[in-house]
Amino acid sequence: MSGDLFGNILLGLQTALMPVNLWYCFIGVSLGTLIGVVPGIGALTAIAMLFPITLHLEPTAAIIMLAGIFYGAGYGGSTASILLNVPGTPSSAIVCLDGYPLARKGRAGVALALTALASFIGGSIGIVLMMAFSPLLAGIALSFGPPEYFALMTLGLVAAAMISDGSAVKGLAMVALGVLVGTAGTDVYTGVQRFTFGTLSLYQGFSLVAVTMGLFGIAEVLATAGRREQTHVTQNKITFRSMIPTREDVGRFWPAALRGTGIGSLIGTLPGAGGTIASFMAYSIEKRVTRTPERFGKGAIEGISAPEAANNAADQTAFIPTLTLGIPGTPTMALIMGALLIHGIQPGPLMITERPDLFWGLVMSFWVGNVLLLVLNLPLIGIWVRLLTVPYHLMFPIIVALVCLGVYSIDRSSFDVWMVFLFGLGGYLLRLFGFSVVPLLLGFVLGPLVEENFRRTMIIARGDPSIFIDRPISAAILALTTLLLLLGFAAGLRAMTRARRLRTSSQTE
Amino acid sequence: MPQHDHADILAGLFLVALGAGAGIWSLVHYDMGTVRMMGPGMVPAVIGFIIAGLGVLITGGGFLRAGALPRLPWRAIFYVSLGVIAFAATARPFGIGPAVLLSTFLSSRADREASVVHALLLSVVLALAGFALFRYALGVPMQFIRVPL
Repeated sequence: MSGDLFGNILLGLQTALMPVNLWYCFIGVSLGTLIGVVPGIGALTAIAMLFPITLHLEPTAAIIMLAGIFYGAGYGGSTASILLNVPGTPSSAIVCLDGYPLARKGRAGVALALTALASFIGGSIGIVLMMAFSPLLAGIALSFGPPEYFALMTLGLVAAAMISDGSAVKGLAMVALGVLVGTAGTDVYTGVQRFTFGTLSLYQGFSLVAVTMGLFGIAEVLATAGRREQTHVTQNKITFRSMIPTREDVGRFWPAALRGTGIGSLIGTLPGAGGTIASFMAYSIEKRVTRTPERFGKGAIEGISAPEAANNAADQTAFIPTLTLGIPGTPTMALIMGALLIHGIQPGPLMITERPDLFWGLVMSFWVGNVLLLVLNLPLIGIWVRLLTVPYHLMFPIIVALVCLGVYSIDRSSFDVWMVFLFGLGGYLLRLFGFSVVPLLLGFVLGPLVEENFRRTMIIARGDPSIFIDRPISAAILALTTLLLLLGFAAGLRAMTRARRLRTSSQTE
Repeated sequence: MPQHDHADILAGLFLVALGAGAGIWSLVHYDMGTVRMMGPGMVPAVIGFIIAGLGVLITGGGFLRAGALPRLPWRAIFYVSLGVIAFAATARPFGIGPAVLLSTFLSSRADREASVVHALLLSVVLALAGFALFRYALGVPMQFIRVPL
């Protein structure tokens, strides 16, 4: 397999450097940076908003552009954190802690340069890991049957439910709700129409685009529209000279960026965890390994380098399980997988061998994209800084209109726009009541696959569920899933009894 | 301070209703099949009752701790919803131009301090630019304006 690596890299470069793909990679990373910089729109909202545009493109270009938006937002997110003390994306929220103090000291240039560099290091090492491990993992996955896939997907869903913010029970309820929404449409085995209530529009189930645009586009606008925050840009002019770090900065930067990359690469491959968790963990580890933790929160170089490296590394390694197993761990990856499916490409172990041009082209486009991002974020930073002054009350109507127009453009179906409204309002209310819609989306995307693999397993095993325990890999994965569930419930129970004790003690007083 | 978390009680009850409803609907309308050869109703029924069960847990938990109902930002909900609904209702009969114009303008009203002139200007620009993007850059066959007959 490794003997082909050189050939694969060449094939990938050929694909990635085709003018069309190069152009959409550039568009993707530029839009990603733009959206990452502007506070209030996260990578997920951005991808949801621009998703329909990519459906009108050829598949390779579409995926390259979507991926570019995604990791581009990871680069841009830290700019707002540093200059405004408002995170551009959730995964760069932690950068505020030390980035903003640096800006107030007049060192915004250094902070911006080092976060861009940290992003590049994290991203690059993440890509190398992806190139090394994807073919390996795909090779193993070729021997997986329906029971293993069922076990893996269940693990992914349970992990997503446990990791998402809010209680474990609420997370599980959202996963289940997502699976239920996913069952609507024609049953693949019998052709029976489930939950379509006689409308032809639901024949193929709820459209992924409409569900995502609602849950992450309109719901986001509902949560943020009309809210006014006083923002103040600390430094308007970033000169090239101000970006040059001191020798001491560089000494602190390297080990932190590498540690962050390590943490991020690991977290990125886990189901349910993404760049946000990676960046928070990287920060807390930096604080623990340093001899001078008191510098943190006052402009420590490590405090901005490690999280940025971590979230960009996680952004890249998140592609490994998505592309090799067909199991996305985060909602963004679920969207990328959805885009592949809409284009008729089934992500999984076979994709790497059957569509090497697509897989290696995408990997090589990551290199191209990361280099473009370094250029976009270092010399051109001034352009992005000016964007920070665009007021949000001009941004959110644009999101609403683009979401509607985008959904409508796919099938020219008003029904899909109504669904955006339904899922937007529903998703917003769920969020307001303390539910995370992330596990809902993952349940919706993975649900039909979980059902299919379970039913197929039952046919193979003649209805005997012990097949899941007899096969060692599925047994191990399901054991892990059960452990995770028990841990989640134990934590919930402990929190509940603590709350009850507090209440009884306050009543006796 | 209230003794119960009304938000969780309400949300849990909603899940119970939705889950049980979907479960019962599946039991009544779709074939369950056997474990060996599962019918189309098996998974939705099981998932429905799982949701209902989790809803019971959430409602139960709500009785054990204090909490308050979240406040709804009615203005944002009203105008953003109106924006989306306006698009859904006008895109087919009247064309993309009026639909984008209406949805941008109506949703921009969610911010009470935004100026009407700016909102109008933004709507016009977006209607033209949005149409140009999808019609000419992406080649989606759409009509800018239509007169329904």
